[in-house]
Amino acid sequence: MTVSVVSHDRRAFRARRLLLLISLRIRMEVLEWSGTWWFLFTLVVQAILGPLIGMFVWSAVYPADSYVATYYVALLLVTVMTESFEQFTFAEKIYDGTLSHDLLRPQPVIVNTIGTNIAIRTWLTIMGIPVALLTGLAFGVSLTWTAVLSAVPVLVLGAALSFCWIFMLSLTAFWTERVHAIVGFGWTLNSLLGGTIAPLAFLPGPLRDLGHVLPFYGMLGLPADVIAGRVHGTASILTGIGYQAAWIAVFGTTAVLLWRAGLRRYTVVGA
Amino acid sequence: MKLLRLFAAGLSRSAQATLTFRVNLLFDIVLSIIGLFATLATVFIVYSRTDSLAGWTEAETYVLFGTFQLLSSLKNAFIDPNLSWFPENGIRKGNLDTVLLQPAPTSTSRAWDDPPPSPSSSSSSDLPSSRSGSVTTDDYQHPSRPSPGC
Repeated sequence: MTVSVVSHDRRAFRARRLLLLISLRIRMEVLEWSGTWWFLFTLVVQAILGPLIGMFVWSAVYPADSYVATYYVALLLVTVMTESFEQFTFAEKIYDGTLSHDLLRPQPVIVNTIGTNIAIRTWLTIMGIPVALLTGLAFGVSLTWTAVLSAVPVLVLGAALSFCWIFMLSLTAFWTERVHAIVGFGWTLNSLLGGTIAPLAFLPGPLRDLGHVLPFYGMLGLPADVIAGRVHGTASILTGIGYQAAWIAVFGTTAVLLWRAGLRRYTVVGA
Repeated sequence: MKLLRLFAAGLSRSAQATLTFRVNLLFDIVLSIIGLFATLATVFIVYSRTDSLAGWTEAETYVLFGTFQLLSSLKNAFIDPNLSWFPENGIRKGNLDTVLLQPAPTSTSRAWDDPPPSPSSSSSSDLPSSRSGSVTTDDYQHPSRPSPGC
C-alpha cells in the first residue's frame, strides 16, 4: 500500500517536472523566435499558399458552393497551427552532432523538440489568424462558434499527430543524409490525402475511402471539416478521434523504437 | 573553347561527385518522380470533378504542367545549386574570394562547380524553403535564426 502511494507520488512528480520543463522551454523559444518575426512571416506565407491555391482552383470548379471557401479558410488556420519542422529543429542536430548537448542534460531530449515545435506554432498561429480573418472576410465566410469549439479536440489531436509523423520521419536522419527528401515525401502525402489539394469529399471514391483511414486526413482535413461544419454528429467526430488516436499510438511507438535504435548508431567526434 | 573545356571539366567533376553518393542520388531521383506523379494526380483529381477549369481543358493543363516542369527542371539543374551556394558559403562564410581569385570568369568557374553532397553542404540548418512544386527544402538561408540547442 505504502509502496504504491510512493510510486504514484513519484510518477506525479515526474509528470509535473516534465510539464514544467516543457513550459519553460516553450517560453524561452517563444522569446528567441520573437526576434525573427520576418522569417516567421515567410513561413506563414509558405504555409498558406497551398490552401489558398486550393481555394482558388475549387472555387473556379464550384463557384456557388460556399463550403469551398469555408473549408479552405479553416484549413489555412489548421495548417499554420499544426506545422512541424523537426527535420530542421531536430534532425540537423544529429547531422552536426549538437544532439550530444541535449543528451547530456538531465531531461528527456524530446523536451527541447516539443518546446521548439510549440513555440514556432504559437508564432505562426498569431501571424496566421489575421490572414485567415482577412481571407474569410474577402470570401464572405461565416463560421459558427459551436463548430469552432467542437473542433478543438480534433485540432489538438491533429497537431499531436502531425508532430509524431514529422518527428518519426526526422528520426531517419540517424541512417540517411536525405532526411529532407523523406520529410518532403511525407509532405506530398499530406497534401494529396490530407485535404490540401482537394477536400477529401472531392476525391474519387476509392481514394476518398482510403483517405478516411490513413493518418493524413486527421492532421489537416478533419479539423478543417469540423470547423467548416461539414462533419455532423458526435459519432462522426468520435470516429475521427479514434483514427487520430490510433495513428498517434502507431507513430509514437515507431518513433520510440527508431529513437532507441538510432541512439545506438549515433556517434560524434569532438568535444 | 577554353571556357567550353572548363564547363566540361566542371560538369564531369560534378557528375562524379553526385554519382559517388549513390543512395542520396537514388533518394533525389525517387523524390522527383513522386513529385511529378503528385502533380499529375492533382490535375487528375481536379478534372475528375469538372471538364473545364477557367477555360482550360484537361489535356491543355497537362501540357501547361509539362512545360512548367521542363523549365523548372532546367532551373533546378543549372541554376539553383550554385545560386543557393552563394549567400551562405560564398558571402557569409567568405568562400567567394577563392572563386574571385581564379583565372577564369567567376560565372564560368562556379557554373558547374557544385560541392559534393553532404549533410553540411546539401541541407541548411535553417527552416524550409518553398514547398510549391518540388519538395526540396535545402536551399533556404536565414540570417538570424536562434539556435535551438543553446
